[in-house]
Amino acid sequence: MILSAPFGRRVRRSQIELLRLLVGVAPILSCARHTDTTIAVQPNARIQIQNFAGSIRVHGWERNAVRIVVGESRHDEVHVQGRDAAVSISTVSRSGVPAPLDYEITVPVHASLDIGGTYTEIAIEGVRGSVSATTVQGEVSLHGGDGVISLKSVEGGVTVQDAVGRIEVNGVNKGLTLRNIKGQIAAETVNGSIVLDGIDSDDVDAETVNGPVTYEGTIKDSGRYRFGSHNGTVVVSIPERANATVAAVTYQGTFSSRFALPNAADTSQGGGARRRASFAFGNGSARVEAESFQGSIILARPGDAVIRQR
Amino acid sequence: MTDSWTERLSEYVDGELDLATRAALEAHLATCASCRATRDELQRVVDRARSIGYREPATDLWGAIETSITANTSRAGRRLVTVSWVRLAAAAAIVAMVAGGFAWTLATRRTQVVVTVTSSGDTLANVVRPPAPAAAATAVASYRDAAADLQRAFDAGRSTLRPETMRVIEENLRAIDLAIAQTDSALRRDPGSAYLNEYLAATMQRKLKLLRRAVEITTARS
Repeated sequence: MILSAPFGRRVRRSQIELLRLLVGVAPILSCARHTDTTIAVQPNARIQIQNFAGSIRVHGWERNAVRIVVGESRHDEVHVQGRDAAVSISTVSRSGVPAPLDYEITVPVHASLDIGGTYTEIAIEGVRGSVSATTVQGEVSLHGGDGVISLKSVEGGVTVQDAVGRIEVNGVNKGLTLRNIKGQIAAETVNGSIVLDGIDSDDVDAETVNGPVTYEGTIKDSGRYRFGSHNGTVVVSIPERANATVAAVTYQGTFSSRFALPNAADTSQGGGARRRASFAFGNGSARVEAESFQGSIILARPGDAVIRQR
Repeated sequence: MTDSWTERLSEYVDGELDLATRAALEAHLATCASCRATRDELQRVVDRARSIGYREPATDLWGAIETSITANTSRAGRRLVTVSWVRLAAAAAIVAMVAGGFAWTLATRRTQVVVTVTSSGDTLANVVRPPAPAAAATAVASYRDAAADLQRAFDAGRSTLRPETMRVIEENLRAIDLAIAQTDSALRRDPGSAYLNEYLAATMQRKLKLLRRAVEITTARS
């Protein structure tokens, strides 16, 4: 552990010793010109990281330890608290709003992560535990993850790949990309696209207001799939042997298919311009809903160019 | 830090989570006082609802319930700027429950039990029939009240956010408003459309959700 305190070092060290005595854990207060410290933890420890601005990069490793490396800061402190089952890492400002800091954190691969920032880029890779990551202004990317996964950004895009579990991805002003995911998926944004590629799931819900939605993945028996956009094109791939009932609903948009469809099980032309059509494939056990208020709905086969180009 | 577990508490209280998620949430509850308080509040709502039991209505009660909902969301909204985050979340959850119930009713057109929690903590439970178009319009009006209340709470915290963040949030709220306006316009041409009614309710819920998230951000920053 490095404590680089240009001012009041003796006072700070006595504070640390006092805290250790009082709390019985290992809190570290360092005036973070540069921090590089490693703490022993359990393999499935819960790691909380809070950084107001800057970046947080997390990597998984095979050691039962957390290494914290934080770039230089003249005014703010990096507060590290706890060990073994739970570690909390955060920026504490001594002068109002914290300055941007860049965190490089290495954690056990099966650690559970709870990461938050405001003006913060978040990138996580090589982990196999549950992940929660939230920021306001900044991208969020996750490569890996297993369990309950929740990723949110207001101004930045969100990307997740090679994850397993229950995946919830929320954006606002940018797109969402999910690749090679296994498990339940809920993806929602307002002004951006949603790309779902290489999905292995029986429960998918993806909705946006302005932007296209593209799905390529399994349609499992008795599964439930819902894709919606207000203005954008919705493209859904239907594997050849799928057992699914597919409903396409639009108000002012269009509907087309890149392959021959069975006879429509149900079609209706409501008042105004509403159109709805449903088709049964195989035994029809899965339920697929594709909806675009005023965009196009396209059914395609896996690998079709209309999917690849998106 | 924004707590991603908060939105799962309702499912937890209803016993709808799978075992793994439930265990993870319980582990989180052990360390999060805020979520424990919200859970306790939700649990009290459910307990009160269960204690009331089932009774058949003498008449169509939708109109009266709508009046109650409108009054309650309006009252809760006036407190949003000053109440704690937990209460704000609870109020938003109630709005979501009401909105969800509305959409579900339109979608299924079955008889259902509507549970409403007043700001004083009283619980109303009634069996209702699906709303007539006029009642649906009233319900839409109540959502607009709720959105206005959340908007006020958001405006009260706008100084905590950078101008560009405010601009992004406001642009996205306008994008949803446009979608709502387009659906509204379609609904005027086709007032009997269950699809459009359901779509409008879902889009308004989306706006409430974004507003609630925006308020959470400003609350976390203040």
